[in-house]
Amino acid sequence: MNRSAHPVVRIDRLSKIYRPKRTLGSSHSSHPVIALNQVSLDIERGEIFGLVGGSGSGKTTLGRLLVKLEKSDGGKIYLSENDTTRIRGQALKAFRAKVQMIFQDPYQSLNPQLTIFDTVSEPLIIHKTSSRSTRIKKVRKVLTTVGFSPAEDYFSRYPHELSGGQRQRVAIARAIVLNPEFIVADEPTSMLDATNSFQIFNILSDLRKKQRVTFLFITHSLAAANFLCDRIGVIYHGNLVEKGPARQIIRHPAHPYTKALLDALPSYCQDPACTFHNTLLESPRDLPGSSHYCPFFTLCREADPYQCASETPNMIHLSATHSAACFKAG
Amino acid sequence: MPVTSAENTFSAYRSSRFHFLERLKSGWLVYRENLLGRIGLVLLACFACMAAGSFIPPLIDPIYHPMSGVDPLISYSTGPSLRHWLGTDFIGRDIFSQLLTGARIAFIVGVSSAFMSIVVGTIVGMVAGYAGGTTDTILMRAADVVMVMPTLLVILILAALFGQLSIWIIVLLIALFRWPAVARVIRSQTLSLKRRPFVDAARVTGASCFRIIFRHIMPNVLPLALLYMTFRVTSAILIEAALAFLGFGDPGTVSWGMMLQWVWKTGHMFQAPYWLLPPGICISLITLSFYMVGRAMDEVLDPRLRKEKALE
Amino acid sequence: MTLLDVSNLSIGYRLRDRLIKAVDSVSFSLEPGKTLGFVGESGSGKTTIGMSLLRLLPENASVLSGSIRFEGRDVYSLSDESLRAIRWKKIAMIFQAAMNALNPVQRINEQVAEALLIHHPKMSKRDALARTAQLFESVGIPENRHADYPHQYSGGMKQRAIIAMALICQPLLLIADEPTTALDVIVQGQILKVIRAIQQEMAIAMIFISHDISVVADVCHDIAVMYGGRIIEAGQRSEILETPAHPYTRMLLASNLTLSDHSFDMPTVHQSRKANIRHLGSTKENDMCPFVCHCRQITDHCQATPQKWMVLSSSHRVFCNNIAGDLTK
Ligand SMILES: Nc1ncnc2c1ncn2[C@@H]1O[C@H](COP(=O)(O)OP(=O)(O)OP(=O)(O)O)[C@@H](O)[C@H]1O
Ligand SMILES: Nc1ncnc2c1ncn2[C@@H]1O[C@H](COP(=O)(O)OP(=O)(O)OP(=O)(O)O)[C@@H](O)[C@H]1O
Ligand SMILES: [Mg+2]
Ligand SMILES: [Mg+2]
Repeated sequence: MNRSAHPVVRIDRLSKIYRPKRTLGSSHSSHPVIALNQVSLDIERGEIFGLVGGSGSGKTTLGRLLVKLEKSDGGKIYLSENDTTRIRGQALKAFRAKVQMIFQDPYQSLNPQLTIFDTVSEPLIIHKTSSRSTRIKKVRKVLTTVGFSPAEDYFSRYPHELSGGQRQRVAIARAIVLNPEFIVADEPTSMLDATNSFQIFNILSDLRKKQRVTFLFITHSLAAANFLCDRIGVIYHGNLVEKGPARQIIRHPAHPYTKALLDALPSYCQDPACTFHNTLLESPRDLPGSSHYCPFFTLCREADPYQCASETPNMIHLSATHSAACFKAG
Repeated sequence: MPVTSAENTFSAYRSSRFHFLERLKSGWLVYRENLLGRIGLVLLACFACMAAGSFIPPLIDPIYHPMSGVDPLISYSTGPSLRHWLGTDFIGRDIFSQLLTGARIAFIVGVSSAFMSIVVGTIVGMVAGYAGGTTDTILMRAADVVMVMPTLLVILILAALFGQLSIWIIVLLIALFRWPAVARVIRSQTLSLKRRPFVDAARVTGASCFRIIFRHIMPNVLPLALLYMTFRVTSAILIEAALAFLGFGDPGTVSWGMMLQWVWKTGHMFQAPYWLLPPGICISLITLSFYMVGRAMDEVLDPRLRKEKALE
Repeated sequence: MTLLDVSNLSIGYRLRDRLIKAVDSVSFSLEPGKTLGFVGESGSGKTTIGMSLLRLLPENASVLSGSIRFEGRDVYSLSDESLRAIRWKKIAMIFQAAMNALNPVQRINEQVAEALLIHHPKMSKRDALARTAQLFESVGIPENRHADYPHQYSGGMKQRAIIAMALICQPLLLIADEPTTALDVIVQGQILKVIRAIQQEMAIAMIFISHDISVVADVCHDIAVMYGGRIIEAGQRSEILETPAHPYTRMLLASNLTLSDHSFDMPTVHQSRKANIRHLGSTKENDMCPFVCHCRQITDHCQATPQKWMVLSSSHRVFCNNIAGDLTK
């Protein structure tokens, strides 16, 4: 793969800040939340890029910015080298046909009042691509692709008549029916049990292989990312702290937070070949006084009390493809 | 592909092609267990029969026409008799056939003005809730302004200014004044629906605001709107009756309020209970029955109000 | 002596128009100080079993058959009085999503101390708070955070407080229903560590419910795999993880992702869905295999005859009669 020759998606120093609305009687005096802090990423055509991080680290925010459900507070997003930051009108509609999202919760992301056929054919109607008979053909085809056979049996069902895994597959069908270039999959299996999520993973990986769809796959589990992704980015409190090829990140993690994520997996998921890193502090230490510090400083066992508390680390290249934002890396 | 297994195993899983009918049926099962709802429905059925039957008496004999049918033998108010089951009014018109026609008018006024106010209220509520921002503020302030206006008083003033209002103008006016409450409820429902991921999903596929509002949000607020319609019917009927009783009704129609006004104006208030009571009772009963139906529908729509029966 | 003995338990939920059998002929027993894990997909009846042990089933549920014996006494024939003596003092439970149910306007340590005072009315409030502080220490809540309000706690800390609340009366049996499901990986790792440590330290018996077999494998001595309201395989941890016998258990283990290289042959799960529809109705009968619709090694025999328990070792049993052939593998 010719690296960064033609990335499908290029994110350049993207930031997002949630400013709380002042409401009467809100108990905690709230200050702005920096959900994303200057995140830069390239995603190549036909790859599955895994975005891994704990709860509240800004993964969903990044996904929603990418599909333009939310406006950014600085930074740019390029789709096939076209700046998409300010598009609207017809250009936005064309963008919508190319970029899709699969949401976290299959119980909430389908309209309970629409049949499966209506749900899956809606993008086709919106983008006026075809007559009714070709629509039926296309819907049948995508439903078969995601594993409904015979597809016609499901046309007139309603979401509440399907299991969680089936619903999520309908959501995938809706996302791929327009043959998009790029799909954001936001924890598509977090509500499903292991056997169901395994099927979903297989479907995503098939789509990548057969139709060269590019994915941003959001998850909090490195085990899932390891199974599905070519490259992984680790995000902590809105900061991208490490990115690189999946195998590399799992085998030779460089950032202490990545190591903590690996340690945290139940022992049955661990690879016997990997060591226990033990980089996480039992109880967080106090914030340093300075305004610049490593975002992971409070929880890092390996932090240097001087450098890590007074400077914000930049991405350090460990190899051509692997980089981490830690002074100790490399 | 596993369905949740308990369901699967115990055949709860039915693939139904008639989702809507199915839901109607299960809704009916819940409704049926509500005593108030059943009473309300029976009463409504009676009134509907009355309204439908109101065409019959004039066909039998023109003297039974509620408006112009004067009994040639009678020129004053008489009590019930075989010829006039509920008696006659001050110029000898049949009270029973007037009562039947009143039922028809009540339905027409109630349902059509409720329908109009629901349509306006639902659209305004959905647009305000979905658009948010300035649109929301403007629409809701407008709703507040209309809401605080005393409906009856304003219509009275309009009637005083423009003379007699026809029944359709009255219907329209009632509808115009009664939408804000609906709009508020629908708006808050829309606000919570808007945050549901399926609306985000529709936005990501490129759906326009128009499409999201009418294709995705409307079907989800429609049951609530229908529920509100039953309550709106009640208030529309009451307002029309009050207007008519105060002498601002449409003189060309026979509504129950009109009948009451005739009793009052001709001074039969305390002499002719056979004339006063039927329209009075009918007004109370029809509003009550719409209200009871509304309450029972409330329970169907809001599962939190339901009580699952305990296993013995 | 066995602490808990459940035999042939069936529980049904009455809905408006039908009866759902959520738990079907479930039997298991638990020795003091041991942990038993229940795994199974969503809706397989795990929570229902947990609730039934404390007699906390919702109003529309009923025990259709079977018995639950705790310390030799049948829980369902206890008087209200003696039931109260058992609840929380001897059997405590961490409810699914309990951490969202903390009272937002009461300090956490007071809430936990109150749980103790309710069951020991004679205790003074100061003693109760002291005992709470001690427990908070062992579940890892730092001293200066004891008297905070719930909204000041992160999800992980709330869950620690919930664990402390369950342990406050020093129960003999702790039922933990999905205690880590709503948490992220790192916090989950920490909570599991706490649970393991406390279980060993206090030697309490535990029933640990989860849909994630890797989590259960982390804390339990014995594992019971549930499907469709039934236990379909039960055994010691090593037996279930290393020599799984039931096709569903195998599928579950194979689809559990790990950090190792996934070079081995992964099962493609969605096959033979035809079998589903054909047999949906007939599985109602007793003792038919609940997994019949999704099983990949199904035979005509499976669909036609009731299944029997196969005993593979003194602790390992499986509810499938179609495995004798491949056990050698
Ligand atoms: N609409 C919003 N308004 C205010 N703050 C928000 C909003 N959405 C997210 N946040 C905050 O932004 C931060 C990042 O949230 P985000 O949902 O992106 O996290 P996440 O990585 O997806 O977490 P999870 O794994 O729990 O889904 C969190 O601190 C969250 O509280
Ligand atoms: N109060 C109730 N009324 C009716 N049915 C119920 C009730 N509670 C649970 N059920 C049904 O009983 C079955 C078993 O539910 P249970 O909550 O025990 O499953 P579970 O294994 O704990 O699932 P999860 O992993 O989702 O928590 C499900 O099919 C569920 O729909
Ligand atoms: Mg998220
Ligand atoms: Mg449960």
